Amino acid sequence: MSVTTDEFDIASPAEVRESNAVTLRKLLLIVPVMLVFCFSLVPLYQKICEVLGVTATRAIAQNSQVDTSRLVKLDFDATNRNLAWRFDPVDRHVEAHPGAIVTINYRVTNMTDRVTTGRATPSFGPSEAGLYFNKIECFCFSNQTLQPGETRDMPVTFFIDPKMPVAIEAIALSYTMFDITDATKKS
Amino acid sequence: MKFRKENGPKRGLMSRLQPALLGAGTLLSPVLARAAYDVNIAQPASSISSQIYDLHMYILYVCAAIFVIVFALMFYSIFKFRRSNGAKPDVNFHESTLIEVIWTVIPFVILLFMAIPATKTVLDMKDTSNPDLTIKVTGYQWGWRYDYASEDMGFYSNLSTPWAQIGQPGEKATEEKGKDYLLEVDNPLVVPVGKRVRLLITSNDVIHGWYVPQLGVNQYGIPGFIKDVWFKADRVGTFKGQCSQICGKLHGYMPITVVVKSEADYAKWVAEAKTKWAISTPSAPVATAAVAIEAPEPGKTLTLADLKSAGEKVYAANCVACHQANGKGMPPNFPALSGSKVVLGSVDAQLDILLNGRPGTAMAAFARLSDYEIAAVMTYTKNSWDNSVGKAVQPDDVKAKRKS
Amino acid sequence: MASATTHDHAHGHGHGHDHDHHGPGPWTRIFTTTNHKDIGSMYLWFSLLMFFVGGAMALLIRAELFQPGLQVVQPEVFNSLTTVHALVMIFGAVMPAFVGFANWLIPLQIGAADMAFPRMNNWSFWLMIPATILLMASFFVPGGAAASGWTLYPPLSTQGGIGVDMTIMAIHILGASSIMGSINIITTILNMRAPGMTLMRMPMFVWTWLITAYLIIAVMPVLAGCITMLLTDRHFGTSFFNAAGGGDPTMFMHIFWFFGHPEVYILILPAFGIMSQIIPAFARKPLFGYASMVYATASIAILSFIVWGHHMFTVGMPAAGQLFFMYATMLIAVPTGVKIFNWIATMWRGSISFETPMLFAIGFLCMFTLGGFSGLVLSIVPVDITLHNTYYVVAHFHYVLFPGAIWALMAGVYFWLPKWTGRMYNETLGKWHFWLSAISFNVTFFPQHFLGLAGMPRRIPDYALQFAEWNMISTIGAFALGFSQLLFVYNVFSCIRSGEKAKERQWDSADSLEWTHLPSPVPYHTFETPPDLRGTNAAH
Repeated sequence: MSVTTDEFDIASPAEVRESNAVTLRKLLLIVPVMLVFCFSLVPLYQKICEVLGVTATRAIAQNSQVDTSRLVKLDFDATNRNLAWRFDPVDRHVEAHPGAIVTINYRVTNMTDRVTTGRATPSFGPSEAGLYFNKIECFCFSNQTLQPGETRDMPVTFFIDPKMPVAIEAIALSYTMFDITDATKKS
Repeated sequence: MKFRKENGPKRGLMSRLQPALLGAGTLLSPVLARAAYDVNIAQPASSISSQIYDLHMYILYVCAAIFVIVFALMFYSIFKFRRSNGAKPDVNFHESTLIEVIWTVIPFVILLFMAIPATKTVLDMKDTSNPDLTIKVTGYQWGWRYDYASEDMGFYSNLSTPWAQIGQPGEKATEEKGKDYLLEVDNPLVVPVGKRVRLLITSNDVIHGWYVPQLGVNQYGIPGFIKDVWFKADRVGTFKGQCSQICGKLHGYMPITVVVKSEADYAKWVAEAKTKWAISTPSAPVATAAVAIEAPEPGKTLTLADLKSAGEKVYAANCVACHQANGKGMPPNFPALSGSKVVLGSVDAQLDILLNGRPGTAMAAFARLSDYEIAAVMTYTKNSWDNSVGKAVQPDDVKAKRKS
Repeated sequence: MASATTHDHAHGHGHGHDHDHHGPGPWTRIFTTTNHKDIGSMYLWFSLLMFFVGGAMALLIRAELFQPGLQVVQPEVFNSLTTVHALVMIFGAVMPAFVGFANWLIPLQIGAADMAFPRMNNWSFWLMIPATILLMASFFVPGGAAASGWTLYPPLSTQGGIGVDMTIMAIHILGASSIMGSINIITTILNMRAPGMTLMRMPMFVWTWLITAYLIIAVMPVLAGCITMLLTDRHFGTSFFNAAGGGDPTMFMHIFWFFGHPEVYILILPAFGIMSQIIPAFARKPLFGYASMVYATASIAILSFIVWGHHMFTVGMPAAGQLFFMYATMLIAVPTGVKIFNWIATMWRGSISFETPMLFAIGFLCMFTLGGFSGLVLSIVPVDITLHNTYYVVAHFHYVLFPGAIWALMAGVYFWLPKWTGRMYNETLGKWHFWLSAISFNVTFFPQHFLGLAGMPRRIPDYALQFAEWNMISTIGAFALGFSQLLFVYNVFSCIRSGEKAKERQWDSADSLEWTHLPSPVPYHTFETPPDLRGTNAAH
């Protein structure tokens, strides 16, 4: 941006062309940088969600002291999205002390006469509860493939972090089961 | 910050201006005379919506005060310094750091006074204590489903305004529009008064918005996620809302009705509702949402009665939202199945629609259902209401069609 | 505007020659021209056309909403109309119109002979034509045009047919066009100012465009990336926004609004620039607080990158997120307020006359302030939650965009027409245009605040009976508003054909270079030797 701001010099047309080309190159650089930025928002977003507990899909193995001073109410829920499966929690309502290891089951039945693959995604209400809901084992860690008519009980083993704020008295955990049969066939 | 009188009618400034506006309206047009209009947020009916109402009035008053000052200055300068009045420009008056600082700082301070009460309400809206009742709300294209987890029951809630009141381009509505036109549903959500109701909102297809202004709830339902919100209704009554997020063709036709009942009435309603909408436990379940009937042994020929009773469940889970329990549908968008030429006609043609959908209409493909389920639901539609084909469709027919 | 007239006058002022002095015929010329004035005019004519196309869609929408029930269009067509109305107005009308002004005025105001990259300038205009054709043609393909709202939220937008793909392609092309336009504008401003035209001596219009152009280059690639992900989700099995594959529809909203909020300022900052040219000219006094105006514009632009979340308070974000976005949004009121106060102070102790451009400028001030208030109301999270996706929001953004962007453009056209064409528009007609627009605009959009407060959702073709009266009034206003704009078209045409001769300095206090250094109409080639402004008191 220097050429004509110089109070003592008038730039020649060639000089202007030259500096224009330089500016053009600099500005054009912004475009790929912002494109890369846009796509980097995808992992960034996932990271932020993980940090905020919106999506908690990791397995955590260690445990700490059980906090017997309070009980947290847990509601389990299932949403079955466009999948000819029966998918329900066996244990709908559980009360647990933070720190105590609990196992609950979901039951799934393939109602079709085809081999079908599904994948469950967890979601918490309130969303920050995901931060403190530590899964030791969960069927949502992997794809589930069921033979025609097969019924399976799928466990979730977890404990609630005793560090969870006392304000959170009730947690709802909902799994949405998606049919990914077509997607897995393609890959 | 109480702008409503605690007793007596709860009215804000704008509502108090209503008679004057109405008066002016009456002069303008006879159409306006019958209007019972609202120019403000509807009367709050929950603890949060009361806070929202007060907050809005507070912000509105602050804005009105700023408005008066800014517009007074503006019109004073426009009027006083007009050239036709002989005003001479003071060209040196064009810079003043002091003034700039003043009109940067003062708005900032005003904003602080707006932010403080707003922050309090935001935090109040995030209450994670133990709810008295949890209801799961699922948005569909285009209706709602409510599941009462603790009662093991759930049901669909769809628009009940007949299409004859709506009409369509080029065709006048044949029925007079009712009082609750487009705001009425077949099965409302029922909740007890004074209890903290937690809603877990999600969606089965696209993003929907569960919006009931008087309860202070407006929450997207996002497929794959649940979002929790809560309300505590402070009085008995019926509160209306609509889907707030565009969700396709019939976005404007998926209202919400919440009926708040006294505890005793609510208990009575639950007892009755359970007989209609109970969901059995998973050991012998009927699916919560999509489908679920016991699959028979492969290859077995099934009786019409068996298929029909199984088909009724498939119908209730998949078809009833649009085609209605009585098979009359909601023409013109959702045709009647009762007396339908397609349903009464060949197995092949009906099967084709079920497996492939009907492009350009709301009819989706249902190929995801099992052969047995499709056979059952076809048998049901061919032998219910005014239809009596008298023949069953067998799962093998479906299998054969799928292969072709 | 008025490329033909300007061109005719290139070789001698004030004579209406009909024949062409420049070799190629007029048709060849519009395809090959690299003259910033020609291209500026082409942009302006194009945007005027698109303004009426988008307006026709708005009137169809309002016609359907005249009464409850379905009368005019099917619900899915209604959804397409709201979607394409927004896209056409944003990408087809307002943005190109501002680029048109930039093309016309920036070289004149900084004393440059032309834009930095004349050929790229030509391309960036012509790219818009296929894009627009794609967008319009999508109405006629199976499945119809995109019907998910202009925000294209998945999964609804993954449901649509080929019309959605055409829309995505159209947005890609329009985005590329505006990036090219912005690169041109920034380079011109940074490198081609006349000697003595320092940055802090540039007219405000140039300043606002410099900042806007940076915004465009920064966020258009984000939009491009965002809709590319949508496209691959639709056709190539990715699941950026599909929960089944580990994606999240909410992420689309975050990325989209990261583009979308700066986009709102892209639509309004050049309007601030035009206001800052017009108000001092008619108050006969320099712009009050020039430096603070520059800083306010820059801080609005910077803040625009951290407020996107206020479009999505109802997705269910944590309280901390809601509070952050609320505070940031409220903060924008400060620099915006500074601008309003500076304009009022500009009029203070001035000597104000009320020609049409000034009427529109005052209208802008009043209406934009009102829109600012409703924006403040909406920034409050709990209030927003009850008003989100209602007509209150529709009223709010039309208050800031119609009297904001569109009136600024109209004011600008009336203001610079004498300079561009060498002829005066009809003042009486101009005043009629203003007053009819002002009244009918308020009749159209003020009642929508009430509708929103009463809980009427947006993007619905049919509504409950309690909303009927205000909707009827709004529709009546909309038709009056739409047809009033024909006065503008008539006025522009009659100005070009037979307006009275304009003076070199039609507005005696307008002090940017085009008024002080150039005749009316401006010749086809200007400032081939840059004016030497060193030591002079070159104006803001």
